[in-house]
Amino acid sequence: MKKIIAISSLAALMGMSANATISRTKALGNMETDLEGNYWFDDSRDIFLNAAMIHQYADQVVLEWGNSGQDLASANSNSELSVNVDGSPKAQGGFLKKSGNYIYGIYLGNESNTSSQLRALSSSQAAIIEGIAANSSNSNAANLLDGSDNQIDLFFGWGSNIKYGANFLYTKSDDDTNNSEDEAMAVRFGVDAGKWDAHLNLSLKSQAKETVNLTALNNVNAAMQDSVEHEFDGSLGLHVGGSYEVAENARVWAYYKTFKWDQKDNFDYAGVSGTILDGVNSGSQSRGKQGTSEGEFTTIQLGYGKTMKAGNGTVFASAFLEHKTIELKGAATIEVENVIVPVTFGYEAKATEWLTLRGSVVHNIYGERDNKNFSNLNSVALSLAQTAYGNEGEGSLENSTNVNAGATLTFGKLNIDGFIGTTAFSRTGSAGEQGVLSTDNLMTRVAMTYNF
Amino acid sequence: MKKQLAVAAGLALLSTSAFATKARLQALGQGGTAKGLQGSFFLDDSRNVFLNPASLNEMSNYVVTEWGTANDAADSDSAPHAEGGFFRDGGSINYGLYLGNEYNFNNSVKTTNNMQETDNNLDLFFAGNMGFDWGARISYSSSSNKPNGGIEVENDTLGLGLGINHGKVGAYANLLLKDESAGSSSSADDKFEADLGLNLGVSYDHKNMTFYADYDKQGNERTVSSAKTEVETTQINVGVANKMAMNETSMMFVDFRFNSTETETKGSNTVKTTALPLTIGFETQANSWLALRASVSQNIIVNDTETETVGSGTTEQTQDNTTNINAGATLTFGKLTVDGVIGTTGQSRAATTASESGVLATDNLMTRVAVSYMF
Repeated sequence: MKKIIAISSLAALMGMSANATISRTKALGNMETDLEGNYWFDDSRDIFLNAAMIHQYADQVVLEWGNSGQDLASANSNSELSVNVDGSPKAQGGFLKKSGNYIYGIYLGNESNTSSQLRALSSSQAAIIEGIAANSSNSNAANLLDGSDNQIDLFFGWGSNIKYGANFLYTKSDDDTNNSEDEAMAVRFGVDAGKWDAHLNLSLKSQAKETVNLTALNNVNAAMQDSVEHEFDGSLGLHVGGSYEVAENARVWAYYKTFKWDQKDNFDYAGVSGTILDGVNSGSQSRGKQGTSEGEFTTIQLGYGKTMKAGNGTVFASAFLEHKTIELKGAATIEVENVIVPVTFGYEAKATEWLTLRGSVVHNIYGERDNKNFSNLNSVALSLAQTAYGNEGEGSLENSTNVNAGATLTFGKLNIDGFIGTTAFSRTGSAGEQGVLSTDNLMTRVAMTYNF
Repeated sequence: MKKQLAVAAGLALLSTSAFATKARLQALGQGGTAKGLQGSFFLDDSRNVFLNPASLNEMSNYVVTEWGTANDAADSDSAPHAEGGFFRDGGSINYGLYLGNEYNFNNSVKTTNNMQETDNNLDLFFAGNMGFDWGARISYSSSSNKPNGGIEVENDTLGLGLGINHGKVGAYANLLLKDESAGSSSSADDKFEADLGLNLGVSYDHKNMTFYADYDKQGNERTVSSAKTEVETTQINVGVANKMAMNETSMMFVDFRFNSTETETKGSNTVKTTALPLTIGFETQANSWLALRASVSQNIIVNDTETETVGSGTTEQTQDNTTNINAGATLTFGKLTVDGVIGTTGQSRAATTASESGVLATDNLMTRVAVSYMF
């Protein structure tokens, strides 16, 4: 009996930090692109993976500090495409509230990184070099398709023994001056039976298009077409998955995620003398394709994760197999194939009643790539692809060992989460992992959770 | 009954942080008035005296000092404006004196055109009760500058604020009676003359809800290098806020409002912005010496800017990146409180301006700091 009470007390203590945030999931080794949570340990970010998980995180406000994220074309004021990264997180937040057997909530600003990356991939190379040429050859001034902005997520949950949840997200923005528009819509359905859970997440619409006047390029060659229209048009996207508790505190999971899209570019690459395009940005003619290009990505993941109570803390261990393929029928067929088996070991412990510390190490025990025709990606997508999927060609994925750490400061019902160890020796640069524990930048990617 | 007493006691505790400052308003996402951080339409805050002077009856006997620069044109996160004053319960009449509450609404135009700005502003407050709470504010400033061999520039500004709070109803009228600048460093003939400024508002409390409406109309006519420009700005806020006392020492609110701002530059263009900002915020007394607060806001559903340019037609666009997180803290030392905004320092120290990069910095512990002393 005493043991049961002790475990209950511990669970209550640990429960505070489980109402957590992006910085907690990343500190515990979750490297998922869209920061959507995970299947094997509890975290409030799980609501973006399985909407039924809102039942576990009712009656709380979550606020993730940040701004507009990392602008992928920071030197071009007309381009609005950004991603949520550690050094430049996006501001977002919302609340979940329980009312009887029902849960409802609103979350603001949780735009998807995958969505932004696909828009960068779909941007016309001609539009990209127009932006660069118009901004003193600054390579950070590409003209990219606009990204999703001001996203709103509505949540609703019901059920008692078996819990259900649904989420509808919508975002729309347009700009007459820049001739651009963006719209996206998705729904998520989830069920949580305790021992097992499952979800079906559907992207119903994801579209961005823009017309770019080629003023700077026309100054070089007046015979060039006056403008270029480029577009990203996503078709139905599917993310289905779930987990099953095979033993106490041990779960297996699997998911399948696929998305298809068309990208359109009306620039006549073949009709322009190579020296003009290539003079601004090397190899441009082979990086664009006039007309419609079809793209598709598929990710399959199978995993096992276990949490173990140890004293006043928890030890985490997981391993999974992930097979990811991306194919884009551009100027040539661009292919990405990554097969990885990362293992993660992490810990989380309540150091004092007001401080929780956590950390993890992630390492691919198997990580191979087979990437083709990266020279046919537009210049912005090339950089993103190399960072995420490795260089062109076959080989192993380099430098997969990653250590993260984080902390939670607890003030009654208020938790302040953050990353630690992300400040470099210098204070004149951005985020850098150089093994420094800095007390001036006490925490980064900070978030506040208030439980009411 | 016990629970009611406990909640009442909690609200009383929370009211200590309601003796607050621009930093608190910013942290709770309350910058939506036409003139910036001049008060909240629904939260109890000492800054509300600038919106409705009758609220002086609810909060008095304190000195407040907002740290910042003497810059008379701007009040930004990076360079807040230095200002402060005191408010005192005088028995039947409450009164107060506040120095330096200049806002950038008209001053930015004067600065751009090298005219004398409204400077060294003085606000005098009186408030009392005659069956209902009433309050009045008189705002005055007069300044000039005549450099050797240069052109004399001068400004005179006069404002009047009136307000009442009666039961669940509050109403106010803030008038800008005069704001005139004569001369600029370029020409003695340059001038700025503000129209009668009108700010009218009303609020109604029903249980936890506050319904409110605020109308603000300002305009000016200026002559620069013999070219005359007329500008008129109208802002409307209509909203409803739900304030919830979560326990003895914490509160949360959800605010949903319609905001419309129209700026017409006659003969040139009209910019009309409409939005439905949703704000969710909370404030909690973390322990006896620390209060923490934060908010998230974003325009939802309606989020449009329409620009109609004479001779060029109309363009429309949505406003980018309206999701905004703010956070703040109050350190309490007996009757002294130190308010500030947190999370406005970037990871790098190379930048000199405020940066919201998700960093909790302990060297720049708080920004936009203000100190209040209750006596």
